[in-house]
Amino acid sequence: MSAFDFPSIYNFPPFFTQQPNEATWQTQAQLWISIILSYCRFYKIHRLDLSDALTTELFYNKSINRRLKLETLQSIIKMMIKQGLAEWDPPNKKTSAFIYWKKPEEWATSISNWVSENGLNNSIVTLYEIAHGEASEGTEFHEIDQAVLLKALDVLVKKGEAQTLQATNAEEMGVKFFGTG
Amino acid sequence: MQTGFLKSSPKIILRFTDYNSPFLGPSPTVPTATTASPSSSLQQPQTWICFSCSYSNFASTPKCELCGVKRPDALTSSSSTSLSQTQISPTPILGEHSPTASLGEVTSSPTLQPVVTSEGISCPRCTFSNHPSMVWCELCGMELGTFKIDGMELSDDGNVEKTERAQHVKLAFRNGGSASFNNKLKSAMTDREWEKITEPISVNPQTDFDPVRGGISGIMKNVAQNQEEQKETLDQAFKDLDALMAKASDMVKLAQSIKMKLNKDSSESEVSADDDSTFSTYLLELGMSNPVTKKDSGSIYHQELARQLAEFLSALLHKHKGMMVLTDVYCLFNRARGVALISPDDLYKACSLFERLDLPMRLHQLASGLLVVQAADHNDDVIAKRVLEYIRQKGSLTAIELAAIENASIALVSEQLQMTVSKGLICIDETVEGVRFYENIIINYQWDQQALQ
Repeated sequence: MSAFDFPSIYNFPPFFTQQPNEATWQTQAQLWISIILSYCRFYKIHRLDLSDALTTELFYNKSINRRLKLETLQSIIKMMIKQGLAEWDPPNKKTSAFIYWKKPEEWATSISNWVSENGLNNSIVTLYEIAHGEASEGTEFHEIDQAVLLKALDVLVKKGEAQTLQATNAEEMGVKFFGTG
Repeated sequence: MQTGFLKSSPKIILRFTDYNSPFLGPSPTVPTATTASPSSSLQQPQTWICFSCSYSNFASTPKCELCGVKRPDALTSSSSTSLSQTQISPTPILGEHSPTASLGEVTSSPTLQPVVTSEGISCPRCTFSNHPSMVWCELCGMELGTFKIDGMELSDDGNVEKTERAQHVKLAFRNGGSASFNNKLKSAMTDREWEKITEPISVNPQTDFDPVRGGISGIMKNVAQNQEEQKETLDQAFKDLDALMAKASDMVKLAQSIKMKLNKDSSESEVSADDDSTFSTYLLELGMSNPVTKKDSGSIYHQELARQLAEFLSALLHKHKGMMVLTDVYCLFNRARGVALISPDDLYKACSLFERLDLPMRLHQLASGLLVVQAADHNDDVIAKRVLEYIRQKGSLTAIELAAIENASIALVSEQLQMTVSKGLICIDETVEGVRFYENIIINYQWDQQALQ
């Protein structure tokens, strides 16, 4: 697996300091959001623990010895939440967040597409099968975070396209998809 | 004593009208007091001798200045109480006092009267010739009586007359108005206006009694004397400075003549032109032939100051790239003035007049509150552009590095950098080592993400 290719701005020292100029900061934050989303998509990361993430290469450029500050990252995540690209987890704490490089609705669509493609309509699939099963290998939602998956399935349930079947274990929870077609 | 007198008697209203309206009561007292004083001042020295250490104290000091021993009561009481009694409180008992009786009471028998000669006072008991300032005989301790003032002499006819006058006045209010009169009277009593009148009168007898020291006038005299002495000291201290001031203008003239000469020389020969120019800039910074002063220009002082300041700064501002911190201006301007220094306040006032006088510079307050003088054609955009240019050349800069390049103060440079940041032309890189400034490539950065997907 090749490494994530950071943009050249990643090597620009001021990029790691929250800019006092509002316009500059908006651009800077937007660039950071794009990098975070791309990075997470690349490595299929669904959840970021902020303090841990700050030590990873995403927010710490060892070659120029610059590291993003926690407050700056929090402000960036806040902006992402406003745009519906992230969510605090747990919601009352600002220590970690879901990164929606695909929004739950988009996940829902891709899952239902996958279901119909594989002829799984009207049959029961467990969450484990969706996230880690052989059938889902190669899809974007392979190794998806369970919480994110549940959110995506919730969308489908609300639409009336699926029904969740409770089980003792969350992974054994089943989903029945009603084919749209 | 005065207030005591006024408070004590319930018939005070009557005495008040009696005392003030004819104004004859006190007037005879004054001449008698003055006539009495020469006789007493002959006998009474202006000093008293401490019986413990023999230090000669001023009559006004209650304690010996040297050893702190209290002044003998005999002196103070005999002189002051008798005086006050006779002069101020005209009690009926005093009025009945005959002058002869009081004389006999205070002065000792004529046989023991001390003999005063030019050499000294010979003791009435042992005939030892004492120093004129002695109070007691040095040999036998006999009282020499040099202090005996019989204040009873001062009891005059005027006071006696006063006591004999009607003690009260009856006022009848036929058509009412007694209540309002009563109110007025009460307020007059509380205001005690008459005290203000009587006070200066009460001073006079005391000065008569002791013309040099004592009482309020004595204190005032002392203060005045002290001030005089201080002034003299100051005058002496600043005499040299005055001389320097006088020479200062000559010095400036000299500096200018040298400058002129240098200019001529450098135009004639190209040798050591650099040295000359540095020297002439020193002279430029130093010399100002006739600085504007408050004395010369009066009400238009600040305008004149502003004009001179503008003239002075026009060359300097150019050298400082169009902007100078006000404190720097203050230093340089005062250095140029040499001795006729101006206050920071005057400088500020003069600078704030630049715009109104249409001078080619402005007093400008930066975002942080720092005051600068900048050339009128000099604005933020120009500075920002220049700062950006420097940063482009060097890649990145700190405020200190830029200050070194710009030859300006760090405070000013950091202000300029902040301004440029706020314009979005540069961006900051904050590390533990400090803040570095970079050209703002963030704002226009485009990341082609499509290539990744």
